[in-house]
Amino acid sequence: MFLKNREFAEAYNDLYPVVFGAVYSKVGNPEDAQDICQELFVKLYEKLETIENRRKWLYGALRLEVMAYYRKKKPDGVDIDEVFADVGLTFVNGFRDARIVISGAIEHDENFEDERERALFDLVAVQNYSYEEAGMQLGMSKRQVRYRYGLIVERILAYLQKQGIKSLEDLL
Amino acid sequence: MNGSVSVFSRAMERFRFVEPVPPEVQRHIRRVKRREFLKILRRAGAYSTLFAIVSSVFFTLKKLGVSITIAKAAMLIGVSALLLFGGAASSVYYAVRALTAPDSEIRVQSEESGQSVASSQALVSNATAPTAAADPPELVERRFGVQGFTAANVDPATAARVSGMVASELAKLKGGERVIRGASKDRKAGMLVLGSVEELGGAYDVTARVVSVKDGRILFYSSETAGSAAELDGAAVRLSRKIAAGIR
Repeated sequence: MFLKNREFAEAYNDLYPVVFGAVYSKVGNPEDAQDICQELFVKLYEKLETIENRRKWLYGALRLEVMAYYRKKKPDGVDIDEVFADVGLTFVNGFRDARIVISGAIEHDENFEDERERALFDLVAVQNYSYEEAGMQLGMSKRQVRYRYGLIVERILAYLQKQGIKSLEDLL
Repeated sequence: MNGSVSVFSRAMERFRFVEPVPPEVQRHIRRVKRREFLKILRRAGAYSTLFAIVSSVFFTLKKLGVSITIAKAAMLIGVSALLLFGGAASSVYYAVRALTAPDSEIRVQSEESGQSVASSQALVSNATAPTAAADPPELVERRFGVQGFTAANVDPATAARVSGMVASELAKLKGGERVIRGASKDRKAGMLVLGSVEELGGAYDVTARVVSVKDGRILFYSSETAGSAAELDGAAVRLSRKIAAGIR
């Protein structure tokens, strides 16, 4: 049990803030986000050995939990597509293609060395954490966060260049 | 690199990938993280006190920006526990030893000479070593342990000869059982005979004091004078008789 707990604790440390932030952005209430996260991580613990990509699994389970939350809280209905604005279905200022390419770069596994880098990216780039706060969540110094985040961005930009986007500035 | 990061951040905002989490919620996450972890373990039926302690150290150090694994946190706790246990055990051992050891130090000031006898600690310890076979306590209490006399302005061998003489004479007067010379691992003494031989202008001053091992009290003090080195033996004999008469 110690080995399983150990593995779970290390995964939890990196993924909890990311998942919490993602749930919070959907429900807008920290207490509810906390309850949903608890459900999600209990389920993750139970299936820990069988899940290959914990982040992806958590994001999938998160959608179901959030939908269940809305069914319970707002039985009169809510537009779930609005809650989970899907990149493939949404036009943003007419730059649909660019958005899809950037989304692909963000999801491309080779742009991240490990799951911790992925968590770091989600915290800083998506959830707007400062380097310092992200470091405190992940057990890294501010300098380490800044350095690793810079490397990730370089990799993503290189990937985008390969996809034909020579300069991001042209899109801004 | 900073330029790329800045452009990339603008692109993330422009294409609506950013879902900001307010700073107070970020802090809330940090605050509840460890507590929630333990709740999750409880609900999953995987909670144990030991792992709770290990994970507490793990999350606390992580929060401080320390890169640590659960295995390292467990090792850290193990080593700390060992050090604490070792420290506590040593303290108990030395405390018990100090409480049960026989009087190991005599620190008295001679009323007449003002001389400290604390320096005789080692000798006393040996003379009273708890290795004695089975001497009755009454005999031990009445036994003299004659230590080598100190020499002032005289040959140390002369001082040693005088203390030897005192020991022999005391043995004659009180019985061999009641006198030991120097330190003995096998026989304990309840009283120490300490003394000095000092040469002053051709004359010799021989002093002796009997000290209780139990409480460091001076039980008897006397001195004799010898006009020359040849008279030192006689002075030692006289001094011994005084001691024998003074201590029953």
